[in-house]
Amino acid sequence: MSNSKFPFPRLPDDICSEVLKTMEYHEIIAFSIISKKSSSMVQSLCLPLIRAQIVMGWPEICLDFGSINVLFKWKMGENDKEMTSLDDIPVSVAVKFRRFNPISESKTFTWSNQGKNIGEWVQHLRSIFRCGCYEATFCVLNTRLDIQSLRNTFPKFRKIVIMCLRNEPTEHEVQSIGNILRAFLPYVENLRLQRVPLQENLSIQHIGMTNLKELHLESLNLKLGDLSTLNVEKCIIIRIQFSLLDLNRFFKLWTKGSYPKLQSLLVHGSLESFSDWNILLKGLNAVVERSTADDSQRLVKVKRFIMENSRGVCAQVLVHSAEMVSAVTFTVSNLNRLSPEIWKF
Amino acid sequence: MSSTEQGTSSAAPAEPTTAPESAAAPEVPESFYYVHGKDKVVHKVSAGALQHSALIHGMISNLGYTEEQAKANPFPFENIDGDILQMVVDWCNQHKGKPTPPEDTNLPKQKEKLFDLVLAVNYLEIKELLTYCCKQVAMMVKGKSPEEIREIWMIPTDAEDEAAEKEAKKRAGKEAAGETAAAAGDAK
Repeated sequence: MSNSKFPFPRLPDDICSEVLKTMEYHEIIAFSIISKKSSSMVQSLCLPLIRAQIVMGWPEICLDFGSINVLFKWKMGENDKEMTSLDDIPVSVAVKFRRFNPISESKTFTWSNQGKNIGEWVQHLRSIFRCGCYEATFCVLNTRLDIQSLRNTFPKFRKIVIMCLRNEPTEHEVQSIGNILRAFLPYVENLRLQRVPLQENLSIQHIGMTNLKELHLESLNLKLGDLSTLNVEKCIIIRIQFSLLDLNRFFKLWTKGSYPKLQSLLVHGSLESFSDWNILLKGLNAVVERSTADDSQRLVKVKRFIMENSRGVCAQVLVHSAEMVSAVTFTVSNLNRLSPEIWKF
Repeated sequence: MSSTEQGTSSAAPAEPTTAPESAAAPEVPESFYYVHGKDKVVHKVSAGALQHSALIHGMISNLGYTEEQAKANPFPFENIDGDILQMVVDWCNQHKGKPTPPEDTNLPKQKEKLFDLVLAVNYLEIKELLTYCCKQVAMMVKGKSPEEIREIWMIPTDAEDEAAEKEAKKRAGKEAAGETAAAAGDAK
């Protein structure tokens, strides 16, 4: 190809669109960044995007087109520097194009920052594709995110993960976490909180009241007893310290009709004491599986029982407990408590 | 294969080839049509080759020209350069009655020529060739950064676009004012 130039804007619009359609996604994105006109030309193609996964902190966005994905990874400075706000301007961006089918192929390019800050990059990328599924991971470290710029920059997320990277987060970090939750909690289906400090203005009661499909909690100061309201379908709680009494209270609330949407619960952590199973079963009217062998000598104790709530819904509970770690699985079943199949879990 | 009736000597006159037919089938003589571009050089093309062009195919399908009539009335494409039309005719002849391959390496490598070819092919509505041309245009920016794409494809900046838009508005305003003045003069 000779070095002379090609007057692309002088081509008829429909030809421009045809040319763009033959290009790879990262090339289309590169074209869209050039000018407002080129951006609107790409927008008019209405290109579908299956899923966009955004990571803030060490910012990146993965655009999933099916058998192809394009990963944008912004470099914020030397020594793997993190971003602090959406106004931060990256040094450069690494663009990784990956094809999985029919043959695996991967190419990485380095682009300049295009004079855009992180917020503008995200806004641009979400403006040029039609995507119904956005997911985000916020790694909170020295982060300052205000509610308005969060709402202006990001779409409604289906899934959010918030990871607090400091044992004792700063005031700004706590405020940023609160802002993220306030901005997106009404729309999110799947929420995961990792090491997020739960406080008065950011309590588990607030989160539990939200309509969620899945809630994943990993918190240092969470108490099972705080889960008085839980409006989720699936709940996973890990790294928690709990007692048989806490579990008993939780299940008792369920049998009385609380947590009506709950389909499954997994609690994984340290069980304070598991010497007296009667504490767990007290008042539940549960049917306990008859133990076939004496497990008093076993390292891992297993307890299986079924219980029924006030609306006749049956749940299977499986408790594994050992010295260091215990796991409780609660699953709502469609089966009748008298069905022999109910014990197959 | 095309035959150049006048002008350039590059293309030697040649009779179009006809597809082999079974001995039992009656021999149907292939009809030919004539086209010329800006340079008035007339190209003889078979109806089969011209089927690639939806525009020409639409024009000729109901004409029922005899060889003499077709020769006397070449289709004029004054907006297409002679060498570009030659390329188009050659491509149509090469791909006459054949399935088009996924890639075409015979397209011009010079960007100026490719631009004219794209416009001509678009005008003549040759779908397959247009697809090749679009791929060729896209290939120019394969793996390029936004800055490189801007340079290769001569994409103006937002400021340049705005300035051009202002200029166009100004020009349109002046033209409208000129027309109004002329209309007023006529009325007097």
